[in-house]
Amino acid sequence: MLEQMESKVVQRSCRLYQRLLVLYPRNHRDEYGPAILQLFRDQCRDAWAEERMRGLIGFWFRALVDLLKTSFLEHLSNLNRTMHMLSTFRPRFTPLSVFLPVFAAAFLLVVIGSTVITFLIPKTYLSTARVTVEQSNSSSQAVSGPDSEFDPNFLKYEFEVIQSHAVLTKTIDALNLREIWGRKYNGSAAITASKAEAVLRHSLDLQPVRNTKLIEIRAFSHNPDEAASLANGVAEAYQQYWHDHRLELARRGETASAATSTVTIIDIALPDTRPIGPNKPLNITFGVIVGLLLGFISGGISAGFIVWKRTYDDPSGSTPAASSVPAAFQDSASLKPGANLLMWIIGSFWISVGITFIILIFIFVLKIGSPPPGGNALVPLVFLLLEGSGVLTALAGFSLLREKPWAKIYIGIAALVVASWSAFGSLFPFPGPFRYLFGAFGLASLCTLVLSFATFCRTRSHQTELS
Amino acid sequence: MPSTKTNPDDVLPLTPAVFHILLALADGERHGYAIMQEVKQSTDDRIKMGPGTLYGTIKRLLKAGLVKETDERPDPDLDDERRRYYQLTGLGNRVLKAEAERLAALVELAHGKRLIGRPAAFTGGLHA
Repeated sequence: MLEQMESKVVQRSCRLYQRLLVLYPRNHRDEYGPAILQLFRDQCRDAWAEERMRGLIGFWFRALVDLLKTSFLEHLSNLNRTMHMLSTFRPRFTPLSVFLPVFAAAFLLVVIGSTVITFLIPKTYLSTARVTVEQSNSSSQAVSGPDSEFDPNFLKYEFEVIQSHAVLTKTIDALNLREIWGRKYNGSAAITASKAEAVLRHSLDLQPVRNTKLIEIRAFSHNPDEAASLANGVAEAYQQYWHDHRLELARRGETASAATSTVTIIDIALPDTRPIGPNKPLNITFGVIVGLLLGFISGGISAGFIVWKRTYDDPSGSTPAASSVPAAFQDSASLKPGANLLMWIIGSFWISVGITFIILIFIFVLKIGSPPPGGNALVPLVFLLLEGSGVLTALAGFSLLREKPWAKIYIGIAALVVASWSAFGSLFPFPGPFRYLFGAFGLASLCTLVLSFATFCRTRSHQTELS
Repeated sequence: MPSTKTNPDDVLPLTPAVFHILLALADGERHGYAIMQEVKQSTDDRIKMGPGTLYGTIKRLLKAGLVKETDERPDPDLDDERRRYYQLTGLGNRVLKAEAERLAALVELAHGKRLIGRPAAFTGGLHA
């Protein structure tokens, strides 16, 4: 009776277990299925013989856990074998073989980028008008001259007069700058008086000629004729200002007591044929230095990552993934999700920088707008912000990779920086290319962040499956 | 396809399950159930491997060239023909010895630190 029962119970258990063998990959099932079933049958009989139903239940529990665990490992092993076969078609990376191309790519990217931008940045011309200024009523202060003591306070005052609202407004009106600059920077609509005044003030540079009564009125522009007309216009407006002031004083009968100046234009400004900027040798040298620096940093990080990845993939290493599987037989555990994440982040950062450069080149080639006079000073600021957001993006990605708690902080700050691009660009009246510049950098950084986060989420889900 | 590794140190350390399977085969060829019985007895029932674990491990041992399957039957009349027999290879034997020596060295170290007494079996060494 007991033998019959044993036979029934074991047979039913074996039939059920045989069906469950479908959980194994087909190749494993075909090769080892009968042997596994045979062993299960033997153990099932032993369990029944030892403790009857209680023993059988305990055995079934262990066998199910074993089946689930090993079938999962076999599937992973199959997947890993497939990936290994695919990897044989890929080139093998060594630290040096990674360092050199990354270094070369980063170096060339920066050098070519800085060279292209240097050549695409509009040329800047300088024109200089010279005026002498003498104090008409010199009861209290001696007029500066070659033989007299130089008075810096007098010149400071005159410089303020030259850059005053009255003088600049006269110049803007005389040269019709609101219309001209409106066509240039603002489509076809005239720009406001305050904006025109700001641009004009930004275009001027006043310099005293040492130990003389001369003042140099320098004007910068991308157009040599415009630079000359700005310098001459300001000089004439300045001269006119003091002339009008004296007439006003005479009308009020205050000429005896008030100090006035007499301005004489000595040299009018002429259009210069040679631009003063951009300084091509300096820019390219700077690009080479920065390129070397970034090349070494990115190449070093990439090579370091290869060394780290090798250690991580080493079957005899005591990595967390390796420790759960026999050291010599880790093909199930050698699948390393997330191992490429850091490489991806580095790559995506450089890709984003590359995309930005391409956008910039298009902007300058297509001549969408043009920088304001003297506006090139913004370029270092923009590049500084780019590097800042890039570093933050890389930090965010790295902390995501290492599952550091401050990942959220980095992502938050990086997102803030990215958001500030558009805010900064819209709040300040940057002309055409700078607005595009902000958009391009912001978009590139945002893409890097989003893709970093998406990769992280994918990696996490993969790791969950593995565990 | 067997692994190309020939240095025993390349595959050390072994997990307890792998070590016990190799140890069970040290006396001669055995089939899966016999291996299980041997492991069960030698560990006082402390290591209980399921069928999947045993054959999964054997598969990897075959791949690594530490064991091989044999067609010979000790006594064909008394045995089921469906059973598959396995035996240690030369490399498997060397790996087993290397692992045993490694473990013995650890035991010696623990003994030197007075954590355990000197086991009588170790006094003669393990170089069989």
